Amino acid sequence: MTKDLALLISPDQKWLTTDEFMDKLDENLQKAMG
Amino acid sequence: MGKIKVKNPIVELDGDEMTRIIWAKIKDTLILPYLDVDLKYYDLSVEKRDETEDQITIDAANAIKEHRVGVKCATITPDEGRVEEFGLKKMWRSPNGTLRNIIGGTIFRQPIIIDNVPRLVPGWTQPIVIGRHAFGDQYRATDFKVPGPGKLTMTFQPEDGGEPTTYNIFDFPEAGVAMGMYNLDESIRGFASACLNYGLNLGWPVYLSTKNTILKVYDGRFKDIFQEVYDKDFKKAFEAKGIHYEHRLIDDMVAAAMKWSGGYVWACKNYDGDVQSDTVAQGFGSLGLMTSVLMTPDGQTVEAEAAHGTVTRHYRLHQQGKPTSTNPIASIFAWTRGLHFRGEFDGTPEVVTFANTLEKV
Repeated sequence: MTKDLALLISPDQKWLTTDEFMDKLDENLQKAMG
Repeated sequence: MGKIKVKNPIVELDGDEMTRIIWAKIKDTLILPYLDVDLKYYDLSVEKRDETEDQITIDAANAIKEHRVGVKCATITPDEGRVEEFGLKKMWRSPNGTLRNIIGGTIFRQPIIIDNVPRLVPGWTQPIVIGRHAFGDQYRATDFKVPGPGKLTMTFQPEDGGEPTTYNIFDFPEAGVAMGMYNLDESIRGFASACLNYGLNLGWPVYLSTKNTILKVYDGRFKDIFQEVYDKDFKKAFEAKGIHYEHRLIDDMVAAAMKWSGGYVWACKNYDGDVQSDTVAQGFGSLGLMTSVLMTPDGQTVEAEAAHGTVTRHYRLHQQGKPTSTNPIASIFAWTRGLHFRGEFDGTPEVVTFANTLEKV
């Protein structure tokens, strides 16, 4: 997830940069469509 | 695996700044590798709008009217600062305003729920969709100061030369303020159809809120027209889906909204919609998780976009070559909502399924 959402969860929640998050979505979608 | 064929075109409206960057990325990595789709591309970036004297926005709106489905990236609505920044010829109107004027219809704001992201109102486990009647009432009212003691009346003068009707409003004992406002049957009817169509499409109940205990005639008219449209055009379809339409007093409705878990369409009068859409947005946690869908009264034309702006602050960092953490979810949902409707209109369930898959990812 991105930083704005991570901060809603907790200050320690890990977050991804725009590119990392988009890559993650890409990977998940490839899996879901495979 | 072959690509999924999308039968009819989708109108794509590109935008500005950080959301423009993300928009292109979504299209190239999450949409085009999977779909064979004819995109009618319109660049609504502020530079292009300036170059074409905003004609591009008008062309885009007409394209959406023709093809019935549009997806839009967030755009800059210029203010004085932006006019200077981009050296614009003038302070062009908000593209969303222009699109809505040409396409017509009602804007629905729908939050995206993510299970592990906490909400300010924890009980809201399903989306609350707000449809705002964006015409008339306070927003087209004439309001003025009353300078001192005197009589205030309101007169309707029929166009056909019939007898004028005059209403006594108030005998002012001292200075104060006053206001005259109005709405139109046809606009309320269109709003009712759009809301009921939206609810039907989602398979969710629809509630209209008014204060008809106080404004018996004015708000009573909203209630009557909604009921009339529902009974005539929607009742059967609603019953077949096991959903319903109901009118509620605005005070009951806000209390119910806090208590209920969501999963309904809330038809709001203009002012209530203005207030409630922000209450609801905050209650669901983030504007980064809010989509906005424009639907015409007949339910046959839609335009979807993220409800947030162009994320200028992140764009500045991006320009400096620094990484950002910009939330793309609402922009992705603009695509998937558009695809969802395209699939529904075309009777291509595989397109709807793809949209749902992407939303889950």
